[in-house]
Amino acid sequence: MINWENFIFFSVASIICWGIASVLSAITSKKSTIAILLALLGISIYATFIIGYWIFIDRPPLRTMGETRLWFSFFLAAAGVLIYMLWHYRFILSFTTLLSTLFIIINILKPEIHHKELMPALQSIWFIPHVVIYMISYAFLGASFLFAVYRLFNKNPYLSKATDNLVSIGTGAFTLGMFMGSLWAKEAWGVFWDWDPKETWALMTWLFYLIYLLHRKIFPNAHTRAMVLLIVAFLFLLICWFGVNYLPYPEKSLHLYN
Amino acid sequence: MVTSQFFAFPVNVIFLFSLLFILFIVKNIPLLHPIWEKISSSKWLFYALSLFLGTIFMIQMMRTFCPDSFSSQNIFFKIGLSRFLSSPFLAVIATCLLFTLMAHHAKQWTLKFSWKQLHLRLFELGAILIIISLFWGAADQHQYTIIINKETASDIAYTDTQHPVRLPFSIQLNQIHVTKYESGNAKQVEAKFHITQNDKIYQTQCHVNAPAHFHDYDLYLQSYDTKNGEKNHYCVLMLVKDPWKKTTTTGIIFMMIAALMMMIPVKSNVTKEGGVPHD
Repeated sequence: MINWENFIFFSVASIICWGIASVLSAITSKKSTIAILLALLGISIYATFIIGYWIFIDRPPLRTMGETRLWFSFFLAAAGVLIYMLWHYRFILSFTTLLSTLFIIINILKPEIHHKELMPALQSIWFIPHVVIYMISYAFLGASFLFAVYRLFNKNPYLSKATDNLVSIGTGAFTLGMFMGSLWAKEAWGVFWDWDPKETWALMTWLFYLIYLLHRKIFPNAHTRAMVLLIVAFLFLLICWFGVNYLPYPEKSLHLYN
Repeated sequence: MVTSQFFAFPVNVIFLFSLLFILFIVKNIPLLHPIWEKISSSKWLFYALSLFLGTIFMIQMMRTFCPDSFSSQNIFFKIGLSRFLSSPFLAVIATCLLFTLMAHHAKQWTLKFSWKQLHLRLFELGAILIIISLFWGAADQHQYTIIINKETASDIAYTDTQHPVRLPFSIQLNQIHVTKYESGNAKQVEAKFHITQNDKIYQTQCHVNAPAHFHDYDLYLQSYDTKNGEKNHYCVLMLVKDPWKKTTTTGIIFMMIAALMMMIPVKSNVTKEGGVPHD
């Protein structure tokens, strides 16, 4: 049985695959098939752990912060390889590997493992799609943040286009996640929107990304301002994801399941 | 004092039609055309969206860092600077956004149709429906709490302010069924009860995440005595009457379709050599 004790072995193996794939993709000007295969191998190893752990705990591993970080690293790596295959952005694998590794290290140092039980409030068909689609959106928006930081130091205009593509996909996924949550809230609490701190931060994050997309349409040449907007938007995303738990009065949140 | 109930149907609907009428006037009177060009532009939508975000951010900061502002006696609470629900301040800002969004959306329909722009139109239409139903439809939404038990039928529910309301039907609890984990913690809780109206009896049930429906009401299992489990003789139900539910759901579906379309990868912006050009 795969349990949390095995996480370090699976994650190190994945990081090694992603690391080699990053170097290969960065040094070759043409699309590297070996880099793609290695990145996919790393993703498969990581996915094996998630599936095994899911079977071991007998519920979807989506409840705790540690478990969401597990998915974030997975989807970030998957987003990286997908973007590389589709658009051949040479440095995307390096960026996504770096961020995935950071979140894997956090999980190794602070695993936040909880028992196998899932409380009645989480027994819903919306639970898996709501959290998974959010994690996909975080992954794409995380990748766009890395591009934005890089773009601040690199005046290559193609990077702005790449960032727009990532934000568009990430915002689309964020919209889906937020409104799936809204439909779930109606079933569970009787209201579509409750202005719970987590919901409010999610709304602000979503609005920030919409403002970024509008800004790009209205001021297409204001690259630096757009990238600064994107960096602030990602800070909002981080507050929405876990920062909200550290702010005063988080106990009032309906979204605390620990 | 004007409460949110003042804006209940038909006042909210009249107000919304007035907004549409104003837009129609501004759009069609040549003298007002410069104003129409401004309010229907993407730039004004950008400003309205930023103002809306700024307002929500300010309220959230106040709620987080100024606990005193929660008090109903606090001046910020009174004018709606520290609350989201029934806040006149937020309602005004949301209406500004709604007005700009409707103008922008109306302008989209005057342009030549393009499949590439379809998701934007759906997105805006969904947003308009959601803002209308959540801000202007809120006055028509009612939420009550009722304690039901096995001994007698209950027909008195209570509002948030503990004001009693007589329901057009009565509810009596039949049974509470609790599924448990080996540890003894609850996995799922289900309440079976019957509703009596005009001497007709309707058997129904609800559990967490699956409300029961009776006419215009949705009935939610809000709480039960966790110590007694199935031996419970009572439980608390929440009754919700939301005439704008279908409008909100339609808006959400529009936005979700638009979001899916947004996620379809666009054409790459790579160079002829392939990839982002070398630094």
